[in-house]
Amino acid sequence: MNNPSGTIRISSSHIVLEYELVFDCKAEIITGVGIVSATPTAQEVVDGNTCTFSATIENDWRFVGWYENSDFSGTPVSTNQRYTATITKNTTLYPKAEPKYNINIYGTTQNLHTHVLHQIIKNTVVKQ
Amino acid sequence: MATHTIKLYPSSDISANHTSSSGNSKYSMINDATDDSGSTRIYQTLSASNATVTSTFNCSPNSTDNPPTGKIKVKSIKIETYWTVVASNIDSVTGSLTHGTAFGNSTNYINSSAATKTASSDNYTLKTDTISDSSVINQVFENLNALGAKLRISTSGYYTSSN
Repeated sequence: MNNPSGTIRISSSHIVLEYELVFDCKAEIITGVGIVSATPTAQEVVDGNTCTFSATIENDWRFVGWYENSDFSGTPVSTNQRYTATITKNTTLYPKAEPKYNINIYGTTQNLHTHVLHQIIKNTVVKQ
Repeated sequence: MATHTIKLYPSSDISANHTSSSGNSKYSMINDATDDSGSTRIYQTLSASNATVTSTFNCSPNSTDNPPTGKIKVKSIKIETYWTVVASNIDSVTGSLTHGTAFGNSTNYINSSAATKTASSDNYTLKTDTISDSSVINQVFENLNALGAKLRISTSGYYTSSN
């Protein structure tokens, strides 16, 4: 009599995962340069989607641009205060602003701190 | 928006109760990048009474497939398993296969429907199922490791013989 046998055999098995890449998108402020706030503070964006950067600046300051480097080196990626970018990598942008008015102060300025100068600018009444 | 696919292969045993064609690492028998038609395999030996055997595995990508290193958003999950039922000196044999996945710390496996074979050939066929797991689909994970993919294979069957 032959010995009966039976088996269920698995040769190979795996999971097939379909996915999208997700990147971080955020704006960071360098304090004391005329930027009140900037958004987004942190946002996850799917590769190829857009992210809108927006900055609020101090009165009597003007917006200069969005920079990829915290020292504002290089060319700004945009000079629009509200900037929409297509995100294909982790992206941090730094908004830069500068005073609208230039004030020439004659004499020594070595004891004048930057925030004092800012206060002078804010309190200055420009007369035509 | 670009979508990508990657295969996650069994990379370690969690609870492997099938028999292996060689060695003690069951996962290494079935993690072929290209199916080897059963040269290495795991299997369940059938008896006259119906029985079920289940094995679970952790799954990881092959580094040669350039897996993503950052955040991912899962769009779909499929399981692909090559399997067959083999019989000798038996009037008939019935075998079925179910496979499923779980992710992270969850042990709540979501399984496919069962496929059944009554043939006695040695031809491996592919069972493909899409797994709808709302805890994972459209969710963002820090990376593939954080996804923590696990695979479960369950077989059951019996034979009838006049010998």
